[in-house]
Amino acid sequence: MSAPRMPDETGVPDWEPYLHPVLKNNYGEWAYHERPQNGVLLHVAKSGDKIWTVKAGSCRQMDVHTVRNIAKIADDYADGFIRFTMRSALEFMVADESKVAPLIKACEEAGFPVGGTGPSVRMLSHTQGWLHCDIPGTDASGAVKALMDELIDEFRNQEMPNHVHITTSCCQINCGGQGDIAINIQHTKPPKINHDLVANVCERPSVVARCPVAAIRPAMVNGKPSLEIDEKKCVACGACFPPCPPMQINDPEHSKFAVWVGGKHSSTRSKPSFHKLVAAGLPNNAPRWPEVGAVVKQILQAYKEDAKDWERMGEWAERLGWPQFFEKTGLPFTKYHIDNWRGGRANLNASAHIRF
Amino acid sequence: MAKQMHATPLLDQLETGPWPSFVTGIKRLAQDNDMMVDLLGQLETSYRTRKGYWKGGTVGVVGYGGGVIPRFTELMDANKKPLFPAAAEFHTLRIQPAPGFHYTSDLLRQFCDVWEKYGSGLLCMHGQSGDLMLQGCSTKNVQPCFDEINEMGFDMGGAGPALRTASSCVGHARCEHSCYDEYAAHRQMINAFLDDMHRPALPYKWKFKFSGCANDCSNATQRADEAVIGTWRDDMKVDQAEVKAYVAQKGRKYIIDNVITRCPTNALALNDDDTLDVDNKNCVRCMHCINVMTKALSPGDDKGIMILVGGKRTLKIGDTFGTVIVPFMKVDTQEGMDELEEISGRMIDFFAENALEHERCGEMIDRIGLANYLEGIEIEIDPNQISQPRTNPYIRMDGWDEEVAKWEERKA
Repeated sequence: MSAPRMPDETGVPDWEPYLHPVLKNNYGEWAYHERPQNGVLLHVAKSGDKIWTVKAGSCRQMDVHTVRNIAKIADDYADGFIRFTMRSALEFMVADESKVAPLIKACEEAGFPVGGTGPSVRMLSHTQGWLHCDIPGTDASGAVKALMDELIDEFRNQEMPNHVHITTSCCQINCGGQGDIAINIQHTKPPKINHDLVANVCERPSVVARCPVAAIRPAMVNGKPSLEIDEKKCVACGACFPPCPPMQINDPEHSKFAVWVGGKHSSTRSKPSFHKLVAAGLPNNAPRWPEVGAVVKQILQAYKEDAKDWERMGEWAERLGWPQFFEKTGLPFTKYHIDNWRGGRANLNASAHIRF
Repeated sequence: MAKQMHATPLLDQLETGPWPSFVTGIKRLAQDNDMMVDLLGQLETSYRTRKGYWKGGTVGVVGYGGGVIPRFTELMDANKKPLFPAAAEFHTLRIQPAPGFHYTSDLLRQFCDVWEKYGSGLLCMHGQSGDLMLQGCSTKNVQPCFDEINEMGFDMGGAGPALRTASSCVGHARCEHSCYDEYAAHRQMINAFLDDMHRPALPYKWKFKFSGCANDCSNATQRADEAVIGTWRDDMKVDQAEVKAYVAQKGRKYIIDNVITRCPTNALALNDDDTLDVDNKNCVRCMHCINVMTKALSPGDDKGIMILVGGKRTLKIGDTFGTVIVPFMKVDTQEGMDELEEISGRMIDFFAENALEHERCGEMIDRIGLANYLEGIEIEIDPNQISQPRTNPYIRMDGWDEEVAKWEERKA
């Protein structure tokens, strides 16, 4: 028997062979950019070279036929190159302005909606969900498809005050990350433990250590070593479920959706900010999650009508004050919005500032 | 022709509407791929019962300890046989693409051809960390599939308690805001510590992200254990003729409302002759005015990077942003890049030695304090590392005089 093939540990590949020639020739030497129309960027290099980018939506989880279609559009209309954005949008690039219109037409005809530039609702960033994750409370691709169907006009047009990043996550680990609007599973009941399996499947001390509120302790149940939960302490975060699958946290009824607002990674104008809870208790209503879509649209509408140009969602809420945020969006304010996690006092109004 | 399709009344509802449908894509694959027929069966079950049915396991390739995400179905019939046998194994291979996610059409087709031969034909472009993910591979096909991809010049990404695949904004390739060569830093940092990716032995994950400016398009600040973000330390560049042209075009009110008054440190003023004054000493390089007036304003010439450490999401202590540890360093020469690698190496080593199991770097710093952390990785303290000095007196300060002496020495 021959020796197994050992991997070639090449790591990150060289990017140069995959760069559009105009990008390669002007690498690090760009002068400015403009947005000539919805879905199109024009970048001008110091050399005077120009490159037009046509941006289009994808479904992130793509079959080889779809990917080959992308390759074909790249060949027929876009100089043979393509790049993907952090949020799984497609970016075709052309060095000749006359190629822009045919490229847009080709994208639209192939079912890739052109948009997502400037102050628009960008492509939702998402996670794996029921399709591939081992701990999902919901699906990701389906939720994104359902929402983008509803928000496609806001993706195509640049009519928002600033860009809107929406994310979805299938559990509270929140792989989708911070967003202007984050749509995340929020469990509402403690895990249900299958005591027959814990001893064989789970490394009990690590599971105990994983709990953020020290609600898990080792216990003998029906004569078997297992774990028990202090249900009064449990915050239903689901952190114990990945290291111990017999602690089932997902529940078709009680795993709900929560909506968070105002997350921002960039240091542009204001410092980065975390998203804040604004709505919860929304049902996990596959395949189209209409209740979630309704809340998202409610928030987007209020933001679109009220925010100043360039104001991100969180900056708008900050300027407005949260009482007005709840007023303008029509969302209820509850005791659950009041932060009681460690450091949470920083989120209380320690001032005489009240708007009337 | 593959086996008969399962009824998927719920998934079918995701084939309507204007946005591209992943269900339509999977169905197209299912026409001649049993694995995808059964994947649809399992996914429809999840949509019906609102539960997930995958469990992990151990699958890998020779020589590596990570990079494959094993998935085995948990949906069994009465005889404990998989209900959807063709998709009973549905592993993912994480592959590192070129920085910036650039492809040629030929490269895309090459990936498709290999993946169609060995796997489901479903690709995720891309995962949140920055991997090209090939989703749906049987255990036996993982090795030959990886071998072919590896021979194309591509390597496995990270998974588990390991260095993870990195990502970069578009950067130098197509952005005038870019303050350093993100792709070069990305490639050098990952490839320098590749052993920590392929043989997972860290306390938990370690993510790098590279953004060319404060707009942070790679979401580095919150999503990376080590965020490398571009900035500059000389004066911002102002083309006064372009400023005037912009004012003429948009009107003074627009400029005042959208540029001047939006500066977070009030460092801008519009003069009576429609030129712009910049208080560069108070400019925090936030990028807002440059974003608005792309033609008139741009970063300075003396560009470099800052390093932030410890960003992560909720588990277990709550969210943390990365915090500044190195406010500025030059990386425009190979020596500069090597210094970044050296610092990163100290950071990863310290993390490996001092973090608890399943503890992210940000949590470790929360536990031991930033001052101790900085001492451990041999980075000097700097007032740029804080937003304000401490507000509580619970600290023993009998080393005060020595610390003042160090400050004086650093200033000298």
